[in-house]
Amino acid sequence: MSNILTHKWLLDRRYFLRGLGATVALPLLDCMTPLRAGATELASKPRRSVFVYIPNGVNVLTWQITTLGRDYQFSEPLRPLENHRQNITPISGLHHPNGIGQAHVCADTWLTAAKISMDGGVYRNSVSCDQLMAEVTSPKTRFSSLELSVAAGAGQPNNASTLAWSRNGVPLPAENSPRNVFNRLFGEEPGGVAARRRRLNRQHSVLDAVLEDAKSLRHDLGKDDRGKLDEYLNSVREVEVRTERLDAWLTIPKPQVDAATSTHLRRNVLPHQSSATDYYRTMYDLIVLALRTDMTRVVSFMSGSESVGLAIPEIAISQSRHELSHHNGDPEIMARLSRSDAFLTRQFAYFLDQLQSIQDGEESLLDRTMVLFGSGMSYGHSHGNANLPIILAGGKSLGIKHGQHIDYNLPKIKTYNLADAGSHYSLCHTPCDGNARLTNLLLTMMHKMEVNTERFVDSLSPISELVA
Amino acid sequence: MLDGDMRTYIPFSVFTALFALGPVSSSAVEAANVAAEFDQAVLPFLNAHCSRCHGEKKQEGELRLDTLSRDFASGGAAEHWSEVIRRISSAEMPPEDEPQPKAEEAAEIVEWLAARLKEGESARLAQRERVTFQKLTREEYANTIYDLLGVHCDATDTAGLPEDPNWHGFERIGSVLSLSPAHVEKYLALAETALDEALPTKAPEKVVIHWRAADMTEYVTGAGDQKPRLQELGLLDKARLVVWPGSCFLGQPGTTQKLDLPVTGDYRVRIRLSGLKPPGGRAPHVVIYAADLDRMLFEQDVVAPEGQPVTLEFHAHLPAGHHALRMSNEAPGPSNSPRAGRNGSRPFYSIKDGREPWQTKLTDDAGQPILPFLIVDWMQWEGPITDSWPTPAQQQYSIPENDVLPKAGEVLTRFIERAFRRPATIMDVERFERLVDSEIRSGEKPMAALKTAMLAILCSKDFFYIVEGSTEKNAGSINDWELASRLSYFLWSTMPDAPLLDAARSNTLHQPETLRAHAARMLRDPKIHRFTNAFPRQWLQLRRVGMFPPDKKLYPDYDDYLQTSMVTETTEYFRYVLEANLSLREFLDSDWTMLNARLAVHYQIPGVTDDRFLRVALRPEDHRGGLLTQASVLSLTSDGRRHRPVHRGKWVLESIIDRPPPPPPGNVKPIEPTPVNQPKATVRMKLAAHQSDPNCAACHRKIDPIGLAFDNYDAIGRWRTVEIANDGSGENPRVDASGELVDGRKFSDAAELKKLLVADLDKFNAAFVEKLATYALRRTMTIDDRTNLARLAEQSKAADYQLTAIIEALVLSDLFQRR
Repeated sequence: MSNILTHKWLLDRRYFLRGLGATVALPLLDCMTPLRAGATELASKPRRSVFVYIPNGVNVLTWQITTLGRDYQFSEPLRPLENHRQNITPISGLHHPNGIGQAHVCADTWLTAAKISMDGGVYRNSVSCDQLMAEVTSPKTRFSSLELSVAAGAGQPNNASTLAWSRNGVPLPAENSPRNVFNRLFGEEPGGVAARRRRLNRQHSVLDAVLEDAKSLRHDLGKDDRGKLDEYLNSVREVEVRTERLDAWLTIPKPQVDAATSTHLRRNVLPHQSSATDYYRTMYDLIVLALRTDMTRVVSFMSGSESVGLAIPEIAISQSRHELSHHNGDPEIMARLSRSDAFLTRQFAYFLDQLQSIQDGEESLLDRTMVLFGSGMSYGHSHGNANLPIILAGGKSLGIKHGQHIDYNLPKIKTYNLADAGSHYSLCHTPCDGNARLTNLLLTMMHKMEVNTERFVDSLSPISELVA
Repeated sequence: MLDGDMRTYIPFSVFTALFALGPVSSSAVEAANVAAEFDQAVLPFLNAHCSRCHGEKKQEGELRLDTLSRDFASGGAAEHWSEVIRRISSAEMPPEDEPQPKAEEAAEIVEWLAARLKEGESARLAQRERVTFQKLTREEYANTIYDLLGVHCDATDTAGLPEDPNWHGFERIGSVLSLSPAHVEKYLALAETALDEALPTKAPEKVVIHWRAADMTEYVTGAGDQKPRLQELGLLDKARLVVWPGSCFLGQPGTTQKLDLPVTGDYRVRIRLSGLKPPGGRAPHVVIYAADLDRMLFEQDVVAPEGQPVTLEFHAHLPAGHHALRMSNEAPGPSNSPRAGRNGSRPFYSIKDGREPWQTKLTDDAGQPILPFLIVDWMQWEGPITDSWPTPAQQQYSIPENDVLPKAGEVLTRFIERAFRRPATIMDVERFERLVDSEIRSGEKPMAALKTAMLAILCSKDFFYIVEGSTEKNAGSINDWELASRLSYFLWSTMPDAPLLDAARSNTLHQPETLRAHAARMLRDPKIHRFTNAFPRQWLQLRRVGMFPPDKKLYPDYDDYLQTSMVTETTEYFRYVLEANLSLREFLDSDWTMLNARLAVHYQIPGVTDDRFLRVALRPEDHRGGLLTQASVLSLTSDGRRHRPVHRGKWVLESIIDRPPPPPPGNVKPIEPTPVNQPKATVRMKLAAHQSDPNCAACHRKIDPIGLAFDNYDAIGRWRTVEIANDGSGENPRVDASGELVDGRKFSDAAELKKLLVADLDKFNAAFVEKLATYALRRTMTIDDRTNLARLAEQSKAADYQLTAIIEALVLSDLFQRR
């Protein structure tokens, strides 16, 4: 099979991580030096990335931080993050050049930066940066990446419910039930190792037969007619690779999750049925568990899709975020949007708290995990997507420097004037610094995840203030 | 000439030229034509207003227009042209300090370019390769598994296949349906479950799970330890469960119950209950929902006296394992806490017993129910239900313990022919025989090895894709096997049945009389309901109903059952038009519709008490008739708070007239709310800028009037004469639904608009034919299809626009047999 097998013996040792009163047995992650001599791969601790999406933009008038640098004041919706000042960097002024003027592709392209035209092209997206990261990390984890979202599936063109896109530009469906995800990650398959190996071999044979058939057709078709067939081949091949990986992991027991955590995450918590707080926190708990057990190192989570946004009855908000974002200037609706923003930030602060509370030696889980929190839209009402609301958190042990507000608008406009809503909205429609590209930030993260590339789509360079 | 009917832009002279010159590729002619049009219509505008800064001498913003490719089918140029459209329509270009073009001119250019771009997009989407792969939708996959193996498959559950992406409502456009690794994993899992159920190693153990009212919840018997005493007295079995109406936001007051099923399969469920309906009020509505699967299993209004309960029965296919069942009464009622509705210290036996003082009264002093409530006796789960033992699949696909391979080959050949919907090639059979062989060598039993090979067949591209064409040549038309699949997936959303496969095998299917006979047979078969459900849902974009849930404060009467009923009205309406051989006219206007009791309450139409959908005659004062004033259509464009006339207009242009408007420019200012000291205004009044500003009016005078005609219907489709405005002061303003079409014809409200549309039936006819063809052929229509579609429209007209005739004409057309 593949050379993943040569790593098997290294992963048999156990290692305990403590946090939140739950002990979890883990394979040793540090010393994964390959057997083969001359390996350039040094013993390396995990590097992780999490992407959390806010749909429909924010109330840009209340969200905007108006001061630059290290002494910035937190705006009202961002106040829940004050305790994490040293762990976060809010960034203003970023945009996706390919997204300007496009109304509804913001979630689809947040991590891909692709140009998706609504009039004039077949809907085709490109690879998302998290998948490029997963390519690097997946040999080391049981699952290459985790896609979570309030809405299950891949969604629709121009209304994706997932942030992750394969190299073929095919969306990777997300899951919205923490219980299903937990069972998939930690559930035990029946039968002993031998029985499970038999099942995997069987699956492998099935996929082989299927691929053989498709490959011979591909050969006959020649260069032109291969579009759908390639999509098919790549997807089946990917499942075959996953099967091989699962086989490689077969003799390594899955981490034992203690009963309390297991019960907590196996509750039938579904969006729209549970309280929003409960749902978000359960999902965040699940992400934390997946990261600390090293089931995966790349996670994306849509806290709402552009059309599906949870109502938050706990704070008397019965509308979805989409409705709130189309506020028509109504001050009451805008106030609710701000409260919804603050709510999402509070839950995000909870997530950072959890990550920080888990110690791994001298570092916390947060120190080795970069988290991108933000939206692909800023002024949702008329779909403005310049000056995106973006916050980068964590990853200090990977070399990320936090503690300041990076702002690409202020050098050009000198000062914000939030009382003049119109002018601020214009800022959120037309970027004032064409070089302030979100892909620069994504590239920065990719480099920290050891993705070997000079650029990502239209990136110019990594953001020096974050790594200096 | 430029706005309006795009089809006639091919002058007659070009057609004659086509025939005179002999076989010239029609698309080359079309391209030449487009170029000529461009030179005639667009180039002067560009020269006058754009070329100075975007031409040979200067290229502001690095854009040069005079040399920009006019090939609208290629993605690259299309991007630039769409940018041009955006700039012109938002009046960004020409810049303010330059001479401005007339608004009508600019609008013409924008529309012409937008139409070309749309055509280019369609062309790209519909590009035919030598071999095309069009994926089955989830429903089609499940139906096919059922016809192939005889078992149901839970493909549309949340744990099943991901939702199919849609293109303007259509969920089956081949180029849009993509395949990800997650899909493949799901196909593996679903096929494996189906094979295990169809070909079990031993007969499944049947279970009967019976829940008495006393077993369903502790509320029945009050405090815990009463049960033994009641059992002794023989009263436990007589206890009944009262299920209150109403819904709280979090959690329902219905009962929940754990259900453990040992085996995946079909289960028969029976429930015995009474339902009491207050005079003049709503009936109680029982809903049975599997919370762990997030699937509604059953719902119905129940009206049955206390002493004469009814037994309702339904079937559900459920996976093995633990399930959390919830039964509730979804009729609206006072928001109630379980405490007030709970039984007291003694169980409920009959209304005639008194209630304790703190309990909510069930009936008034005359014994009439005050609220709609259910009284449940028991619920029973029985299964798995199998048609026969051995199962149908076992009867067809079994191999003995010895002499395995030859028999396996024979079974596989038969299975492949049905699964791939074409004869099995030697290579196919050998490939899967090898798999059987290797499995047996690994120690598997013959049947298990065969199942593995069948699993591989069900994960092959030839199963869950509809494959057309071959590598040898670029075939212009399809063969009989492919025709059988096209026909069965069009009308039945499933694989061809035995008669169709036989006709394909004998190569007689394409013969007109045979084809006509099969189509007629299929239209009369009960499976046609899959078409009558799926096509209107996709054509009319009904998936948008409830996408923005109506605000609970503004629309407290809107509930899930209303939403389902709204959509069912439309699909049942379509089904009736088909089965009664009616014409397209009925879609635009009619004096009847299909209603159930719930929807009749919504429409305020008296006299409808049946829970089933039945044909109801309409009076003019009901303000309904046709599709355009059905609640589903009227509400799918709302944003959850108010109706949106512009979106309604756009929907009519897209779905009924098939002239979608160009996209709006970006960065448009929002509608300002009316200041508090101004009188209340309708949305129409606030959209005044669309009429007065010439840049907006150019497009909006075609969109708005049509949408505004329906202003008498609110965001959830109720009739009104006054529009409730949330801002401003004073009285709510009266609705003004009058307007004027582009061709000058005037109307005073929706009823008159409908009559105007009926008078212009050919336009709708052409639009409908295109939508039907898009659905049937699973691809967008392009310029190359225009002739064929026009011919179909003619045939439809000759048959007085009868729906069944149109479908038949499509099946028999060249279009249906071309690739």
